[in-house]
Order: sequence, then C-alpha cells, then structure tokens
Amino acid sequence: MALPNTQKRNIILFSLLLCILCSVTGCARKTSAISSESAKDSHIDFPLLQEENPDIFAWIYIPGTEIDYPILQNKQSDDFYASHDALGNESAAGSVYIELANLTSMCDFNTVLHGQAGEDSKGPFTDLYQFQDPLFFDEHETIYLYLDGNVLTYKIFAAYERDNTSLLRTYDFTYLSGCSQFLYDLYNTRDMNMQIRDGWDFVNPYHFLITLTAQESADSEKQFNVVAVLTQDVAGTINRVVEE
Amino acid sequence: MHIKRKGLFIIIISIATVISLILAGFFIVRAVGMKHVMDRTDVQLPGRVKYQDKLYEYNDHIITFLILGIDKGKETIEPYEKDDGGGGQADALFLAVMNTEEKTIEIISINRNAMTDISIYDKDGNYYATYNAQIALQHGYGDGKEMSCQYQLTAVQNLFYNIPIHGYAAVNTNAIPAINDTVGGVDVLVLEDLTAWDPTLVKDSQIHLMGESAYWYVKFRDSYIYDSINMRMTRQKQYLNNFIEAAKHAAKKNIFVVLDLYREISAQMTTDITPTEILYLTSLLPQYEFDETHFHTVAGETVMGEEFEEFYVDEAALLQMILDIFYIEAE
Repeated sequence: MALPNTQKRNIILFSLLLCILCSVTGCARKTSAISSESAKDSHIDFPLLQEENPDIFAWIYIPGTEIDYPILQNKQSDDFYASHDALGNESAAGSVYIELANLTSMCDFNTVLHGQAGEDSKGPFTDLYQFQDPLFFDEHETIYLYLDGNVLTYKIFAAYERDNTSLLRTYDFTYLSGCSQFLYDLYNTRDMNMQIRDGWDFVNPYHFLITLTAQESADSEKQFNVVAVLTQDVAGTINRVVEE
Repeated sequence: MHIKRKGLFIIIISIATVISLILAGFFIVRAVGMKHVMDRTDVQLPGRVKYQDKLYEYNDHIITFLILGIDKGKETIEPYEKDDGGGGQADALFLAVMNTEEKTIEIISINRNAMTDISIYDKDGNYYATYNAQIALQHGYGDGKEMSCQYQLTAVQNLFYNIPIHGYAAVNTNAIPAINDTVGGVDVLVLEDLTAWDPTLVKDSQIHLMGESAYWYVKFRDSYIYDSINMRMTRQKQYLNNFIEAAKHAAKKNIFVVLDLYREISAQMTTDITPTEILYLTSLLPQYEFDETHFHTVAGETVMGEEFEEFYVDEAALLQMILDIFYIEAE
C-alpha cells in the first residue's frame, strides 16, 4: 500500500509550506512584553519591560479608560517619547513620558506626565479628554501608578484647560512658593468647564501630585490637564523635604 | 400717444430695475453679513456643566457681543503710546446676548468697579503681571484701540467663566449724542435731578432726550456720592431699554440708518464687527423681543477700597445668571 512517488512528493511539499507558513505567522504574532503587558491583572513585570527598554520606570492605569501604558523618561531628551513608542521606534502617537526635571521615584510635588491626544495621532492620552465631561469626571476618580516594588494610588481631584505653557517652567515645584502658586491658580481658574471634585479643596504643597497633560494638536493654544493627588503608597517610598 | 405710452413703459421698467438692483444688493450684503456673523460662532463650544446636581448644555444659538463705553474725554479714539493705563477706561460695560432661535436679546450690565484679574502689558504688548483690580482699568493697558479691546474682552471673558464672546464694539462716550440723535432721540422719565448739568433734566419729568442731554443723562455721575455707579447704571438700563425701542422703530422705517450711524461715529469707535454684519444684525432687530425683563445686572456689593470703590461680584448669582442665559438644562 505504499504511496506513489508523486503523492509522497506532494505531501512533503505541503508539509514544508505549512512549516514556512507557521514560522512566518509565528513571527508576526510574537509580541513584545511591552505591548502585551497590562495593569488590569494588578501586576507589572518590570524586569521584563526594562529588558526591552530601560527608560520604562512606571506604569499608569486609569480604570474605565484605555489608559494602561508604561511611563518613560529619556536620559538625553525631554521630548524624545513625544515621537517614539515605548520600544524607542519612531511613532506619531508617541508614549507617556516625563521630562528630566521630574524624578522617576515619583517623589516630586508635581510629576507632569505627557501624552499625545487628538484623533489623528491616536496618542495614549486621547481618552484624557473624557474627563471634560462632568458625569465622566464624577464616575472616574482613581489612577494606579505601578513602580518596581510599589503601587501608588491617586485620586483625580481636578480636570481643566489652561494656556499651553510648560507647567515645569511656569512653576518652580522645588520650592513651597511654586507649589502654592500652582494650587492657587488651579483653584481660582474661572472656567465653566473646570472640574473640581466636591470636598477636594484642601490639597496643599505637602501633598504629592501627578498632572496628566495633553494637547489636541501640536499648535494648540490650550492644554488639558487632569490632576490627581497621592492617597496610598503601599511600600512607603514616597517622601521629600519641602523647601520653604 | 403711442410714443408717450412707450416712454412711460421705459420709465416704469427703469424704476423697477433700479429697485430690484437695490433690493438684490441689500439681500446680498445682508447674506454676506449673516455669513460673517455665523463664522464668528464657529468656535469650540463649552462642554456640559454640572451645577447643584443639574446638568446643563451650552446654548449654541447664542451670539454674544461686548459693548464698551470708553471715557477718554477726547473727541476720537486714538492709539495710546504709553504703558501706564492711559488707553482710556471702560466706563460702561455690557454684554449683548442674541438668541437666534428664540429671537431675544439679553443685555447684561457689568459694574465698572467689578474686581477681577487685570493683566498688565508694556507698550510693546509684552505681558508684565496680573493683579486684582477694577475691570474698567483693563482697557487702559493697551493701545486705546484694538489691543485694548482685546484685553478688555479677555478680562470680561475671565469674569464670566470663559464663555465665548464673539465680538466687540467700543464707543467713545462723546459719541452718545450722535448715536442718540440717529434713532430720532429717546424718551425717558428722568430718574434723578441732573439740572446742575442740564436744565432740562428735571427729576420725574417725561422728556425726549436729544443731543447733549442724552450724554449727561447716560454719562454723568457724582463720584463724591457713594455707590453713584449703581444710580448711573439704573439710568443706563432705562435709557438702553428705551433706546432699543427707538432703534427698532428707526430700523423698521429705514434699515440703512445704521450705516449712517456707523459712518458718523466710526472715528469714535473701535470694533471688529464689519458694516455688513451690522446691517444684518440690525435687520434682525425688529423681530427680536426686548424689554426691561431682558436686562440683567451682575449682582454684588460695593465697598470702599483704600482709594476707590470696589465692587465684589456675588459669584453664586453670577454663575446662576450665566447658566440661565447661556445654557439650557440637559435632558
């Protein structure tokens, strides 16, 4: 019952093709640890991520949004990740990043997290603009920020538009006066679309904040900011001396 | 006989052609004006607002203009060179809010002493500092022309929680007699004795204001009398109400009256509203409803500052007014 030679050849050829096809699709399916990581399971594998890009130092997750991304800091350029993805490849959408003026330990008064928004770029902070709506703002108040060995919980207490000037260059957050001025300006913003969470008018320079900032386009006159205050520091690593 | 009839026919045709051309011209100009007005409203609209457990949406049928009365004591508005606030104070500030769907006009009067953030610029237009001061002062820190108006618009917009303001017109208060007379004068019941400045302004008398009398009635205040601004604002409210009535009648009789006015006072006025837009807006006027119930005043309290009176806005009342006029309750 031996198969004829031509049939044998066909089977070998078919198997060969199948092998090639599998290996090709296998390659395509092979994803980076960065793109397959998510904080939805409450765990971030930092050693694996940092193997792919050592600039990754944290992970941000806002339940109820698509914001579930690594946070990076480039050691040479403030805005390298405005135009590069988390693997360091050029990308119009960019990544979530902080500037060199902020510490990766998250111990600054205000750590400013940049991310692109806008429909064209499909940037990581496109969902941020949902916080303009009072109902969305009411229903979404928590941000989780994962560090290697720690999880920080922040409560969103403000969302507002301001002139598109750099927060880190406008306010000197290394001094109490700069922190106070930022909070004064925030609480005194006169805008019908200013969102301030009821009962959250007590934030002071001794707190630890993050500000998520985005613009609709590169030449926008305004930037949209979502500001959150640290409420839980599981490992107790967040600390700083406030300079008067 | 035949020739006569032919001549008459030609005359009728000619008149009809001229009338048709004028009408066509008017409607074209009006349409251009309408398009320009509509373009102004093509800006990013404010989002939804939640206030005291109610949800509101911005009313996108609204067009808002800032009307300023500039006190410089000169016949014309001229550019100002220095940076010491000499570009003239905005002595009278009004927002005219047109609702194109409901065909209503709301007038909001803003106290000139309302304390708010004022931005100081140098003569080259470089930002210098922000401080809390009477809103009327902002106009002075500019060129006395477009730049001053733009600064004033920003200050008013800031006071009004950043609602859109689509245009401005700043008129030197010296132009009041010309404006008053173009609509054929304005009837008022004199609310306070002003005979020291104009013998015709006897308290409680019903008079037809013409020329300079209108100026004194609208403009005068005795700064030695505490809170005299409120007394003047009451007169201005009454005058404006009756002026709009007179303007509606005048526009019904002759729509082009507004262009005469524009020409006559253009040296005493700074505006970003074009003549075609003004023609369009005036053509709407007769259909629009306006009486004293459409006149609003920003509530607050006057206190004596170190040197000058200061008016502190009742923020809750202002917010409610903004929601009532510029927003509609969301479903």
